This record gives sequence, structure tokens and C-alpha cells, in this order.
Amino acid sequence: MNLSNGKGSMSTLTASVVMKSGDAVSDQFPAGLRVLVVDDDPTCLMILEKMLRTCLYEVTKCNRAETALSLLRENKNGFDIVISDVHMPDMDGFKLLEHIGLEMDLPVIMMSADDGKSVVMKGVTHGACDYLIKPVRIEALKNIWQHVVRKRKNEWKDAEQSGSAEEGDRQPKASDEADYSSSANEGSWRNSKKRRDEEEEAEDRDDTSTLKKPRVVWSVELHQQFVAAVDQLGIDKAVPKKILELMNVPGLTRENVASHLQEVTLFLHPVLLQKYRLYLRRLSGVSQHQNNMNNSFLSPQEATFGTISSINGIDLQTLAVAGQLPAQSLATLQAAGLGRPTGKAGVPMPLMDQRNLFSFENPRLRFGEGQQQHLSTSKPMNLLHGIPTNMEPKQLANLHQSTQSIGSLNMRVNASATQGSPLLMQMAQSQPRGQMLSENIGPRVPRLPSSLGQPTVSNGISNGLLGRNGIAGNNRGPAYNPVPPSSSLLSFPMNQTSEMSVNNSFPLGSTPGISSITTKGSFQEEVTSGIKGSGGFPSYDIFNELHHQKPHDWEITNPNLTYNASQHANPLQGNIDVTPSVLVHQGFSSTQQTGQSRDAALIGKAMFSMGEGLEQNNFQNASQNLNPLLLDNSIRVKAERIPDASSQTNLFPEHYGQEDLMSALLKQQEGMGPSENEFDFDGYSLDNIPV
Amino acid sequence: MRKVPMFCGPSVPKRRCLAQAPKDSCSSKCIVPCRQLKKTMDVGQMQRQWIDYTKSLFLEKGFLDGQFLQLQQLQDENNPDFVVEVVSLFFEDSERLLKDLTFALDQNGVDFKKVDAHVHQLKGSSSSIGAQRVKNACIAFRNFCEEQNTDACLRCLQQVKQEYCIVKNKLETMFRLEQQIVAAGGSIPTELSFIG
Repeated sequence: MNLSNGKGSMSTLTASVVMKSGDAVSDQFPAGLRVLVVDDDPTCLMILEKMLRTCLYEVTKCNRAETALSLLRENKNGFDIVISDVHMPDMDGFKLLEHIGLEMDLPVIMMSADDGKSVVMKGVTHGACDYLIKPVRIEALKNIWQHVVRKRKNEWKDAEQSGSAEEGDRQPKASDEADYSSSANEGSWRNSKKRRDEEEEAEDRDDTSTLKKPRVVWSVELHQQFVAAVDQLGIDKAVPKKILELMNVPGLTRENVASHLQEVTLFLHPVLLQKYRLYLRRLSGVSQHQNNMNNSFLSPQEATFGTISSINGIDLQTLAVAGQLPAQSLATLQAAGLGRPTGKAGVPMPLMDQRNLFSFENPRLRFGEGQQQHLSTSKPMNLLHGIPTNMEPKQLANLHQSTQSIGSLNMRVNASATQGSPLLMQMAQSQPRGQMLSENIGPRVPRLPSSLGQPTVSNGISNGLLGRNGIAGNNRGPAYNPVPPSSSLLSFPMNQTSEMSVNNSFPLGSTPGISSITTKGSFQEEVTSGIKGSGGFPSYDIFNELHHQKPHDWEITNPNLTYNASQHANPLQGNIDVTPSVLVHQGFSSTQQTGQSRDAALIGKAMFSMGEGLEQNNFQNASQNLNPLLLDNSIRVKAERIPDASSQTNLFPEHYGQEDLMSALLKQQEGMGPSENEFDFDGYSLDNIPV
Repeated sequence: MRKVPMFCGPSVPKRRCLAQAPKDSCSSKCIVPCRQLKKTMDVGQMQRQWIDYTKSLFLEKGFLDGQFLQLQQLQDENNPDFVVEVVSLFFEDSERLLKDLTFALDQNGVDFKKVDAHVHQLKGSSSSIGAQRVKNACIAFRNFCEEQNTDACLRCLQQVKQEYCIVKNKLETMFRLEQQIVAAGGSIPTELSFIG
């Protein structure tokens, strides 16, 4: 049943409308929640259906995974949550989970009669938001709406966080989100929910984007501790609880750690990484020197972007088909990319949809939430550690922020950075789903370099993150080094797990790549920042578009930006073959920063949502988080850019992505330091990144 | 407590009521033998019988568990036959699975993965309706599948089949009781609080 409160049309959920309508609807929530149940066992299916109906949800059941997928694809906004069995004859439940996460970014609950720990863990790592043991009791189903709310909330929050221009951005963002996520007949409750979120956020806003709530700021040190803990535990055993124990940081909660882990993993998502890598490669062909990023970047970028855009579309499609890129992400990215320039909410929307594209639940990455800005803001600096883009300090900062936000662990990339990169913000916001590292990332980041891939939070997520960034900046030099100086530009370490495990997840946007980040150690934060920035990460497309629009002279073409995603082994397992170029493209464009945080956002968005960070003055955050690796190289990017960037966080929607990314990357490479406007990455030297 | 005769057979004879109702209150067939001579199988009595019977299923032998109660609670006036429908679905599905299992274990080269998949599904569906003993038998069965022990698997299959047969019988008996109650104008008691 659709809760239609009868007010306003859901589809155009503007803040005002949201404001108005809400009350009536909210009362009914969660009734009307649209659930899709997939189970090959007819008995269970029937029972579940009845139970869900009793909870007043709208239920659609199907007994085959393929049917479910096509249902979901046909009706992108038709469902709020999916419940799926693990063992199905035609497709493994986890595979379905990945598909859904990538393409639609809906919360998915797994269920099985199997209660073995490994299966449950698999659910978590694949991104399931919950795992029910059969026989399922109705009490367990009564609360599934929380997952929907949480996801949305995170997205919103991320968006909020990342956008420095919060107020302004938020409104549109909120509406975008609302629009995006609700179909015409949907959701009044959704809308109302959004509205509520918005209202909440509005309040928060006043506090400043950065610290609405007590959030953990993942400083470099903290991140390194995190990385060390993860390393010690080993990726397989790196559960938030243990990590928390090992870190032994007073005041840090398990949830903080979980979010951070998630972000990093996202960043390291293989898809993201790969895309980023490709992007970098592409860019490298275009512009060669970082320093001129701005100028030179522009032209090549544009050309590239154009191509990339188209490619992105294709790539994304392919990826989507391959299950790697969520179709939606694709659209989102594209939208983001395209949208950016126009700054329309349109972009955000798709992104929003994809909400989970990037993030583990980082809505931030999802730039789509209407936050185009977010992307830029959250400088995914961290991610772009090695990217020798001329990321302006601001951009870097943005990236940084993005990266941070990715973590949702309150890694809030500082407000400034968050140009609103929705991606980044989302990332940050991403719900600390605990370990859903890979899951979220993968699906979400449509274009993110696949290498971003799986959360192999191996060497410390940060590594992963850094790696990515670092990779890009191979050439950059010292800071980057771990990353094989291969790809020019952002060599997104996509699938290379080579030293920079960053590849893993250059959280372009929501980078799932976070996982790989670990390799590099402190990348993580950066990555997240980066990702955040780009807010729009989710879809490559966005990046592409972004690039174009912005004449960011992303010097992405810097060879340094070797963000070779490819090079860096994708720690993430996912090696999604996303054309890195696309990713890079996006990321880089952000760096361009055409005066907007976009650059940063782009980067971030694209993959590392680094762009955001760059753009933003939050670069600081980003820089902080950025691992030395990243910072060194990429951050060097023009400091001057950053100032521009800060203004807009819209990375995503515009073709920032690339520029931003580039900037972010570059900045990172340059070793962006905490300084916002100039990347002084003193502390970040690639050398520090454990390879 | 009246004992209901149990046997794993196709059906229980419809008329087992030994007591002759003096009045015509017992309009439907009573399958439960009434010990008391002056037994009026009125609705109330039938309902009590039903409760007793159901209780025995749960508490005494553990044929059914709390999950079955959940199913009963899901039944309402909009879906008055929900439980019967679900259980019927379970019967169909299980019989198919048992047949597949028999076939799979009969092969020269037993595909244990497949066998395990079937057993897993049977385990899932039996647990969903609360057929506890069937579920437990499936759990044991799966262990042997892991060990790839064909003989043990065959024994487990027999066990599962037997448990299935029993619980099917019991459930059918219970449904018949319910039908009688409803036919006599009564309603099925919804309070099954004795189940933990």
C-alpha cells in the first residue's frame, strides 16, 4: 500500500514539499514499505509473504533470482528493500546481493537456514544489511524498515556533511533525494522520512558541517593505528570489534571503526579502482604535467571527458551488466557527471538512487543525492594519495574530506571539503554497516575502479586508499611511490594490489575500494575523503560529465597520477574492469576545480571521491587522512586550485569528477598536508604507506 | 487427555467416536474416541480436544515447535485457511524433495552437493512450518552428506522420511479436527499459550 499522504507529489520532493507533507505520512511509516522477497522454497516464500503483509508491508515475491533482478531493473524505484535466500538454484544469493547493491543500491537482507558463522560473515562482507536465520519470525521482519531508514539517513547525512554550502545544498539535496528515491506513488512515508531527515539535518547544519554529532575524525595517526590493527589481524579477521580492541583508542566505538572500515573498503573497490585506473590512463594520455593541470588538463580533459563520458556510459553499462557497475550507478555517474555542470538536481538523484553505489553505505559518495557539491567537497584526498594531480589544496582538502566522510565514521571531511560531494558524504555517512565492506562498495560505485574492489582491508585500509591515490601519483614521486608509476594520472590502483593497496579502493565516490585501501595503510582516510568529495562517485558518468564541464585543468594527465588503478593490484578482489579512464576522468575533473570543489569532487567522485576533498578547503581533513602516500604526490596539485574548489562542492554533477579526482590525486600525491589551501603534506609521504 | 490414535497411514478413519451423543449436538464426525460415555461432542469439547491434541504434538513429542504457532497466529479472517495452505505446500514440496533425494542417493556416483542442497532446502522448509523432528533429522543428514557417507545418508533419508510421514499424519489429523469444529459452528482456539 502506498502511503500517500496526498500532499505534494512524491516525485518532486522538494524540501518544501517534504516539509509539508511529512506528518501524515510519517505516522504510517513503515507501513507500505515495499519489500521484494526472493526464495526458491515455496513454503518459506508463502510464509514470509504473509508475515510481511501482516506487518503492513507491500510484498512482492519471486522464487528465482533472475526474476527478482529483472523486476528490480524494470522498476528501479519500485522497492525499498530486498530479502533474499542464500541458497538458490539459479543464482547464489550473494551474487544477487552484489548485483542489487551495484545496480540499485537497495538494502538487502539475507536469510538462510544455515547459521554458520562463515555464511553470516559472507553476508556481511558482501554488503547485506542484515542476516536472518530461518525459520524467520515475524518479529524479525517487523524491524526491517530500519535498514531502509538507515540507508537513507546516511545518504542524507553524508550529503549534508560533505556540502559546505550546506544549507543551500541541503535543500536541493534533500529534495533530490526525495525525488530520487521515491517514486510517484511511493512513499509518502519516504518523503516524510526524508523530510524528517532533512529537518534533522537542518538543525545539524547549524552546527557546521563538520561536527554535527560527535564524530570521529580519522586523523592520520588514528588511521594508521587502524591500519596497523587491521594488518595485525589480517584482513579476514579484521572485524570492527577486534580492530577496536587492538587500536585501544579511548572514546572510539566499534561503530566508528566499522564505518571507517567500510569506507576504506569502499574506496578500495575494485571497480572503482579499475575505473580510476583507466581514467588515469586516459588522462595521462592527455595531459602530462601536473602542474599545468589546470590548463592542460582542461583540454585534454574535455576531450577525454567526452570520450570518457561515452565510454563511461558504455563502460558503465557493461559493468552494470557484468554486475559490476550498478546500472543505476552508471546512470548516476553519468548524471552526476553531466549534471554537475548544470548543477541540477538531476544528477544527484540518480546518484541518490544509487545511494549505495559507492558507499558502503556512504551516501556521500553518491553524489546523486543532489549534492553534487558533495563530491567536490569531500576531498578524497586520501585516496588520491598518489595522484599527481595538481590538486589544489582545497581540492585535496576536499578529497580528504571526502575520504573521510567516506568513512562515515565521522570522518567528516571537513565541512569545507564537503562540497557536498554526496559521495563523500555518503561515504562518511555510510552507515557503519559493520563490515560490509565490499558489498557496499562494489555495487555502489558504478564506475569506480573495480580495483577498488573488495574491502580487502588488508594492509590497512588506509593503504588501500592511499594506494590508490598513490598510484596515480606514481610519477609524482616520492610521495607516491608505492604505487608503481605506471599509469599516468590517476593510476588507480585498481586492481593492482601492488604496493598501493590503495587501489583497492580508491573510493571514488563511495568507493568500495576501501578495502584495498588497507594495503596502503593510511590511505583509507584519504580515500574516504576523496570519495566523499566526489560525492558523485557512483557513476562514472558523472565524472565524465564533470570533466567536461569544468575546465579544470586537472593535470590529471600527470603521469604522476599514476593512479594506475591497474597497477595497483587491486587488493580488492573485485577487479572490476571498469575503465579506469572513466574513473579517473571523473576524479580528475574534479581536480580541475574549476573553482569548484568539484575538482576535488570529481576525483573523489569518480573513484576516490577525492576530488571533493580537494576542492574543499577541507583539504585539511583530507590531508590528514590521506596517507602520506597520497598526500605527497597528489596533493601537490595546485594549491591554488583549492580555493576554487571550495566553492563548489558539486563535484559530482559536473564533470568534475575527473578534475577533482585529479586534483585530489595530485594533491595527495603532493602530499597534501592538512592545510587546506595548500597541500603541504608534510606528513604524508608515500613512503609511509606500507606497501 | 484423550489419546488420539496415531498411525502413519493415508487417513484416519473418520468416525472414531465411540460415545454416542444422546443429543444431536455432535453433528460432525468425531475422530477422537471419547472415553466418557455420556459424551456430547459439542463444539466446546471438540475445541478442547483440538487443544489437547495440538498440545501433545508440541509438548509431548516435539513434532511441532514454536514456529508452527507463528503460522497459526498469522491466520486471520482474511486468510482463514492460511495454515492449511502453507502446510499443504510443505507437503508437496517435501515429497518432491524426498523423491529427488531418493533418486540422487540411488546413483552410482552420488552427487553429495546436490543431496546436500536438497536436504538444506528440506531443512529450511520444515523449520519454517515448525516440523521440528523433520528438521532435526535433516541436520543429521547434512552432516553425513559432508562426510560423503552414502550408507549413512541412506539411513538418514529413511529417518527423514519417517519423521515426515508422522508429522504429516498428525497435521492432517489436526486439520480434520479443525474442520469438525468449524463445521459444528465453532472456531479454532487461538490461544496456544502452552507452547513455550
